[in-house]
Amino acid sequence: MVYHLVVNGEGHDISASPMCSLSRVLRERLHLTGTKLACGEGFCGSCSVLVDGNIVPSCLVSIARAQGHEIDTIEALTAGHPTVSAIAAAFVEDDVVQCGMCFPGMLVAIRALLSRNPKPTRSELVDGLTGNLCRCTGYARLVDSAIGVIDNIASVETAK
Amino acid sequence: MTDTTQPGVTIDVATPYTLDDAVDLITDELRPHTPLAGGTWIMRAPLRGEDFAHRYADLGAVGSLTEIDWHEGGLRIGAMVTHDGLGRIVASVPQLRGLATAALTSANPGVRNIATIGGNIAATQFRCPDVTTALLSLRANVNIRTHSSRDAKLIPLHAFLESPSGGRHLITGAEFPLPSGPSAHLRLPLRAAGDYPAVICSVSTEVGRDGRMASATISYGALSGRPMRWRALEAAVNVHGFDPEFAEREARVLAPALTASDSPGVPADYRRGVLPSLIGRAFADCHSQMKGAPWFTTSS
Amino acid sequence: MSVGENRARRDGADKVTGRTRFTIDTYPENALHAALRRADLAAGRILTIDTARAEAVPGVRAVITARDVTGYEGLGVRDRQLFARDMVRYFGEPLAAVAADTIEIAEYACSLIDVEIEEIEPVVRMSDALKEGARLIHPDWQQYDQTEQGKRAGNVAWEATVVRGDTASQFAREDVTVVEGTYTVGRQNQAYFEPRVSIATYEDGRYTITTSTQVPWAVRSTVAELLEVPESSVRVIVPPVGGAFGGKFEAALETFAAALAERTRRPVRIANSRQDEMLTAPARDNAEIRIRSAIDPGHRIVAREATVLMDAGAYSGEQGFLTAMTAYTLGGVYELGSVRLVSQAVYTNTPPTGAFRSCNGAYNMFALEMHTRDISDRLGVDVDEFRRRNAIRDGSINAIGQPMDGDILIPMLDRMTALRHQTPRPRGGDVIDGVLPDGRLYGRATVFGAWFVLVGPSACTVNLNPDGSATVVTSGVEIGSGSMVQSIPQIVAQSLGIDPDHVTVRAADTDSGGYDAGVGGGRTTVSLGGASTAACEEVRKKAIVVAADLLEAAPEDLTYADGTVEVTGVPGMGVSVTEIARHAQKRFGPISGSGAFNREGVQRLPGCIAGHMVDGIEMPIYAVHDCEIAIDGDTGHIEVLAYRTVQDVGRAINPRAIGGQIQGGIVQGLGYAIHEEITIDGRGRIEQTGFEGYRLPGVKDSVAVSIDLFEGAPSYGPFGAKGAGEIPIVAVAAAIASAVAEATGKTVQQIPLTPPRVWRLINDCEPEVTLDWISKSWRDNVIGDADTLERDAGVFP
Repeated sequence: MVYHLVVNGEGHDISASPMCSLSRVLRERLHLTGTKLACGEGFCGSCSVLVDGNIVPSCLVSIARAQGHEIDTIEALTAGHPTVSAIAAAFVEDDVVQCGMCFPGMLVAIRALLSRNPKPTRSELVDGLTGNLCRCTGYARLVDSAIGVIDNIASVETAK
Repeated sequence: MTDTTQPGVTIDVATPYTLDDAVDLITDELRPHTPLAGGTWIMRAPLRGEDFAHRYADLGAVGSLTEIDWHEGGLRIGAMVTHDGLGRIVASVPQLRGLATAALTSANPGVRNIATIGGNIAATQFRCPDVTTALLSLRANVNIRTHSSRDAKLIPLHAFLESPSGGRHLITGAEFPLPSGPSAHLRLPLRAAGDYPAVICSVSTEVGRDGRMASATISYGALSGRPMRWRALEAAVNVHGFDPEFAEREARVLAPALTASDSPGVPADYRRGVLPSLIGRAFADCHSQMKGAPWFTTSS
Repeated sequence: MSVGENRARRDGADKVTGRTRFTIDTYPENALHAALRRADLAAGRILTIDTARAEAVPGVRAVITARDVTGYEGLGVRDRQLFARDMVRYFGEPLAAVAADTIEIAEYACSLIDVEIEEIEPVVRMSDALKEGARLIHPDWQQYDQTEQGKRAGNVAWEATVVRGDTASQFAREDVTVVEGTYTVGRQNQAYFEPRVSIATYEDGRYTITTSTQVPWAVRSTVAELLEVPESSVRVIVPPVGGAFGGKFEAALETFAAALAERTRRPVRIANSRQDEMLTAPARDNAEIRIRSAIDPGHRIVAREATVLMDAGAYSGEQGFLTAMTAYTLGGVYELGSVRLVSQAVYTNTPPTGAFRSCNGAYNMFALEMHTRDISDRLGVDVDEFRRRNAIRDGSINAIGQPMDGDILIPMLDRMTALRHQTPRPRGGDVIDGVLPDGRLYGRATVFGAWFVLVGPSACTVNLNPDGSATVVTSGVEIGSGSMVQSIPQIVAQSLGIDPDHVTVRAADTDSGGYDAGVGGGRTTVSLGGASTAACEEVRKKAIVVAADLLEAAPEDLTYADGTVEVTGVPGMGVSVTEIARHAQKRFGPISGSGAFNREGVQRLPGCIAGHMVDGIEMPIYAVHDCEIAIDGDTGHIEVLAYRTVQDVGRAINPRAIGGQIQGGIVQGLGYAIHEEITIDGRGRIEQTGFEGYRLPGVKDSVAVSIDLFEGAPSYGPFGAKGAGEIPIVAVAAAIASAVAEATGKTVQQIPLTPPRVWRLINDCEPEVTLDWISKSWRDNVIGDADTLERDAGVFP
């Protein structure tokens, strides 16, 4: 069957079995490999994308279900959102990335969280990341890095 | 193992737009369609070594199934309401703290955006459905459409869980009356968050005209099979009172009679052993919600 | 000055935004997709494998089995083939491989392969494998090629021993206290987020394999051995790797891809799913340990004997090699008057195990430090005092008789005391009688960790480019630790006096980079760093010669300093590296230097080791770990309230990057100690099939580690550096288990300390670990001849 998917604002017609996962479609057909597939069960968060602005594990979304919704992947998510871009830059500058496989999912989760709650506390940020596993970094530094940016923006705004 | 769609096998996913069409597809004698709700269970079929079904009815376009509304002093939840959707509505309702906890802390943020209430109730193989356990303590009823008639049937959730409908049916929603007292839901994942709980319990209460706790409904989940009401414990507390330490002690006495099973790394004894502590904590939580709580009144 | 600088990694921006292409992200056009037919039982005799139906499926391009690939490979003993041939030895063992137009066709075809296997009762537990009359997992074990010296027999795949001094007479003394303990641990799966994946082509008689690995050269030789072709016909290229932790320290899927590529003359891609990885990753082995020690009235350890059984699974893999590690971990931190260590890799009908960040060190330190607690309890002394009293120090000889250089452990203990004061526990409240205000049980512990730099050869070429930049060509791989994108360029930059941003590090390619023993084992910075400094030395020498030409001076009168060459004693009149490089390009040809690094083991007591594939490791690394925990007595849940480490780094090339490795390694250690459990059922199948059942620590399970980097210990690494990436995990299970024992007052013999296990400990229903099948006498356990071993070590009772 042919499905019409809207990904990062662009339309694509994709022929696939209806139960083919969105994660495979993104990676193998659209070459958007920023979305990873570390577990395939919805537990690791590395396949996270936004569907209509909400974070979902793309490995558990069928292409049939994905049709008719707006899908945004990491490739399009840092642009146009100053805080998320600043956090991505901080991750680089603060040297918190290691192997790199979980970070796209982390940023998607942060983007989703910020769209609901622009100034999360550390505890709220951590709650928002409970669906994102990381095997390399041990989390603490990436949380520090993100909170640093968020608190900075919050204090700049308070100062205004 | 990836999508394991055998070459040459086609899977047909129909997308009905009305509830009647959905029921027709699901209950069709010759070509029955399996309901596809959130998909979080069905999409993992290959990981369980199962084939996909040949036909699905994707419920994602049936607008009426996503409705959630207050109706005659109770809440009606469409089967396609997501965990996150439910949680956001009930988070601000003091008596529904338990249901809110179940909806907003189970699994992880991404799964909560797609897993549905209907799917949670319907996944008979799923051992630890938080929301279903909480609904059980709220004495919810389940709305079902079956092949025998277009009319909806309202079945008590506990009855549905004890003997799920044989035959083709569609769960269209759940509903429950708003309780008058506080509620609590405790889930015990093995990690701090993000995994399936080893044990679940839910307590919902009513308060009397004197402003004190008058009755409690208690359910538990993840012990084995489907969530259950703990009627023996209810009987004890409804007679002797709702002191958390009493509730826990009584639960400890009654727990050995509960059916529990092992899963890798989580023995049945552990489940039976910690459930009483969770019961005590649930009642303690309810009591502390009542301290200085202005939201309940002596007049109903 | 680039060494010591906290340079950000250069690949960070691409990694954060998902632009980095790992091997798993590559789907070459025109590639075929391969799938494996794996055995669904753990032991059996293969009667027939019929691939006819599979071959007939439209879109299938090749099907291969044991009859097509006949070579053997193995480290120390060649006991393994690509496919199961006559016997199935583990659940998941490959029986056949199919290459087809799509992965779905390949998997479907795999399901059509007709296999007749006579099932036999699997030998799943080591105790069953070692029983008298146990069925042999490898009936032909005696026919296998053995390439290293060591003892093997029956289901013991490899044995390493350490014999020093006369333990028997010490144990026989009337004035000693004899303390014994038994411990058991489960496996730990590396759970690297990028599964193993390989893409191969076959052109002009050569196999080119792009693969996610830590060891391109080992892959090269293993592929060649299995396919029985010359090593020079195999080329291995390694893109950025999405995590490895030791699990990619051996060949995996490459040979399947290579063989199918040759068959089909098409590129072939083969990738593991997470389920495949849960089943077949070379996990850290499950192990059983018995330790006994004799303590004299002065509270000194006059004798220690230990037997360590390491479950190798169906094939020896790396476990033979890893048996040697007991000496440096369990035998590595305390002064021992006399010692007997027996480490055996044992065959079982389970998936083969392998290396995972600090290998058997992670459980040896757990067993050792629990035993140290037991000893202190028996003697009625404070465990911290006992530890301090017996820690090795300058001049101590270690288990294998190597003298220790410098005082490291005790100064590190002092630094930990200071660190504890500087970083008080941020939450939990005051402890009264071992209980926190919320009723939870409180425990704390300080423990030792020991590891070493895995020496092995490394080679490096540094090319000075005409623009004054440098290109570093090695076979090093970037697995996430940052070595290839931080410490190596920083070291080269410092050596040449140029900016690290002007140092390009080429991705590993065995056709251009020289031999490297592999990335991991904490060796990259030391060995590759050492090779690069040697290469830079040569570049500097050549640069001086070229500069002499430019300056019309004699080379002996010139000095290379900070990126310029000038006349010695006449600063300000020199030429820059860029000018030199340009001039060289025109006049002499480009300047490049090559270097190699390898170190022989140090002097050790002759004859005291047997079966060690490494001769003696002269660069030990130490750590002190300290933790504070709270335990929910009703549910068994552990919260880590504080975690601190003092780590022996020699010289911190990039302190912040080291900190990142420590933070990550310790959280992996928390997974090992608390959350990650692997159970194997009676049929030999691993029960945890994915991240639902295999619980990696999440953000809420982690804790921010307080870190003190201890510099100055002797090291021959570049600029005095030691490897830092591997050791952080080695002491975590020891620390957590000790704290749990403290908090609960119960004896801890097993990890992981999941909530059910802690709950059972508290409620006194955790079964005791007795390990009756491991004798208290090392002589009964060892397969080598005990008398011969003692005579070789100069012990004549």
